[in-house]
Amino acid sequence: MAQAISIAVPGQLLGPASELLPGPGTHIHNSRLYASILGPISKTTPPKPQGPSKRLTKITPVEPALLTTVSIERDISISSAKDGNKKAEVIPEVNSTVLCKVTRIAPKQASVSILVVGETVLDGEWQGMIRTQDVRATEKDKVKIFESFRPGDIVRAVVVCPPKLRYIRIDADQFADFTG
Amino acid sequence: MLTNLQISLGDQSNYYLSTASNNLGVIMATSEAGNAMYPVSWKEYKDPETGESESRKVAKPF
Repeated sequence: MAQAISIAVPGQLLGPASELLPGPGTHIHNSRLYASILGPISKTTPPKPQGPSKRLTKITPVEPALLTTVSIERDISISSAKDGNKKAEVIPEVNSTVLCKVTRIAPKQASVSILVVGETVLDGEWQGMIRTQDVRATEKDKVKIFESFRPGDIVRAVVVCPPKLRYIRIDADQFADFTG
Repeated sequence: MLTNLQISLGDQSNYYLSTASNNLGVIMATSEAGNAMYPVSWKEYKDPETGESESRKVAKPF
């Protein structure tokens, strides 16, 4: 039983820690619960304990599990999907500007992980490669990768070419509809 | 004589990227000593603590 209520920003006060349990994406600071990440707030109330009605023959400690657990979803599209706005999945496209991190260098190319496309931080990482002839516009033959990048550098680049896509075929009959 | 229009064909798993423009290139770099460096020219980053320079393809700041 979880429902998205609103979107929290990092550092937003969610309530006192005595009444709420911290879930994923939250933290406790000075006995109060704060949001750690940006995302929709979801509150989960544990089901009522089942079993025979309480017999007061035994003294049990107050169960902390009865508190409402507040967590924040990492995927912000969960709440926006409810509003009917579908969030298109962002993938790098040709000519899009990306930010990437150099993972390793070789004499002929630098391998990178694409982390950001345009203004959007990606959920995962895409592998990319910068070849010597793509490092700079002039004197391409004098480019040395180890004089241009080192592992760990953050690089701004544009996409020249997507990974080779195989197994894509347009059925001739379907294609005829578009041409006709 | 060959005229080739197609610039490149990506391989199966990698995006091919280019930094062949003034505003493209390294925007954050760490030195061999592990310090964050600042750009001093279009091809050099400098470590503020050791004073060492390292060569990079520096992106022109906006």
